[in-house]
Amino acid sequence: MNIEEKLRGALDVAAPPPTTTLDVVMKRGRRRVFAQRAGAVLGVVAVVAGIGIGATTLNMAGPPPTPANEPDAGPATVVHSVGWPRVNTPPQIPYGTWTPAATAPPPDGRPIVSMPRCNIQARKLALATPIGNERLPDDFVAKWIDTVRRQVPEVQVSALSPGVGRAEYAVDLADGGGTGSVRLTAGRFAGSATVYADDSLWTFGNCAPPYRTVLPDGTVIQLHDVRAAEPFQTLLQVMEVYRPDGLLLQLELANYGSKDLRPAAQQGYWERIGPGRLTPPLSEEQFARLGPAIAGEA
Amino acid sequence: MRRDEEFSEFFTSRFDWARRTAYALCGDWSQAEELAQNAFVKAYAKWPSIRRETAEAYVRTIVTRLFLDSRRRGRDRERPFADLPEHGVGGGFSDPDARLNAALLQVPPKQRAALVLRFVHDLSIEQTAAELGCSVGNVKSQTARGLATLREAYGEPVNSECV
Repeated sequence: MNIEEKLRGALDVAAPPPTTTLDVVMKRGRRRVFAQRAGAVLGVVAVVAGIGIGATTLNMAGPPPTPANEPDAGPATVVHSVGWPRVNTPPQIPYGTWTPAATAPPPDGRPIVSMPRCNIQARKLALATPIGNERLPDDFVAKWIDTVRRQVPEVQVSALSPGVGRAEYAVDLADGGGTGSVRLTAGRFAGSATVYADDSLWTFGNCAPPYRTVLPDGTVIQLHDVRAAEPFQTLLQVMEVYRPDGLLLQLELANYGSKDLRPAAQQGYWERIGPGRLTPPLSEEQFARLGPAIAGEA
Repeated sequence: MRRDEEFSEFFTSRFDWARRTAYALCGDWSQAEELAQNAFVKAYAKWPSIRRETAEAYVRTIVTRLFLDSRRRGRDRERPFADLPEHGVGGGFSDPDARLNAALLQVPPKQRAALVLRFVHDLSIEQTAAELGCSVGNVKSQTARGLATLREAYGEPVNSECV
């Protein structure tokens, strides 16, 4: 018999009785099944937690998101077009994103802007004369229109738009992109220009603090970000000029012009009938030129 | 529970066979019992995915790999002995089996596993390669070297089959 044949009988040896019972094997087997399932669950939890932590870390490591209403914020190497610093204060926390109302949506084909929405905070300090109640002399308004023409020669500036009896003065601004407008209103304050400007940081619902510059004579000029509004996804941008003589001038840039308005049934109000142009008629830099220019108007 | 009933039937019929297979590999009834028990515990955990007709081969593969793993880790590393022990452990070797088993223990573990699968379980080279997780060529060389070592340890010239 060769050794291979001897090996074939290797299982047929005298053996002691087994000590392992079925009960022991099944108990250990069940524990193993439980451990495997627990391990799988823990593995999934660990992976999910890892993804969450990783995503959070990456989000925090990245640059802060650029607000959609700061289209020219650009990379750090590009000089910002306005050139004024923002007021050094924390931004507001958005409560949502702009969504046009179903009853007055933008025209077909116009993309919906993505803008964060923040609370509109009312002034705490009362104005001596509320905005819109201060009538400006005709020659002041005329000078202002001249100033607009000189400061933004890139656009066509219309004559004073017909009013509706209120203390507001608007001109159309037109270029190849369509017609928008800028509207001047005024009020009066009694006290420090800076204090009143500080009181108006969030009165237009912007999330980022406004740009601000202070002229040598003490005039404080404050430029808020573009914001979306109803109807038709209107785009508005406000600049406030707090003069040391207590005159508050407010310029509101809009993406609609006089042809998009008609007098409303209620005396003294306008009614929007057209959506206006896609973008504001002036860039932030162009709009910002108007502030210092009007500050010195007599 | 159907799972437990099927496994119970399988355990009852094949545990002793698995224990003897383990004994052929390790030469110790205590370790053989442990190897067989661990193999059946693993089989129980995987029982729903094991086909009944392959369950035997599945347990044999686990026993073989557990044995090789224990030798690779160095745990319970065996020391081959030239003289037969005076008495076996938990049953030990009894003549005439003792001489062959003692010789088998002097064969290195991987070669021993190849010999046990090829000749004790009468598996083909391909089946042995599958159970050991190695190539056919590796099985051939391990078997040839194992047989040479076994013959030398056994101490008598014997005829050999082709591997």
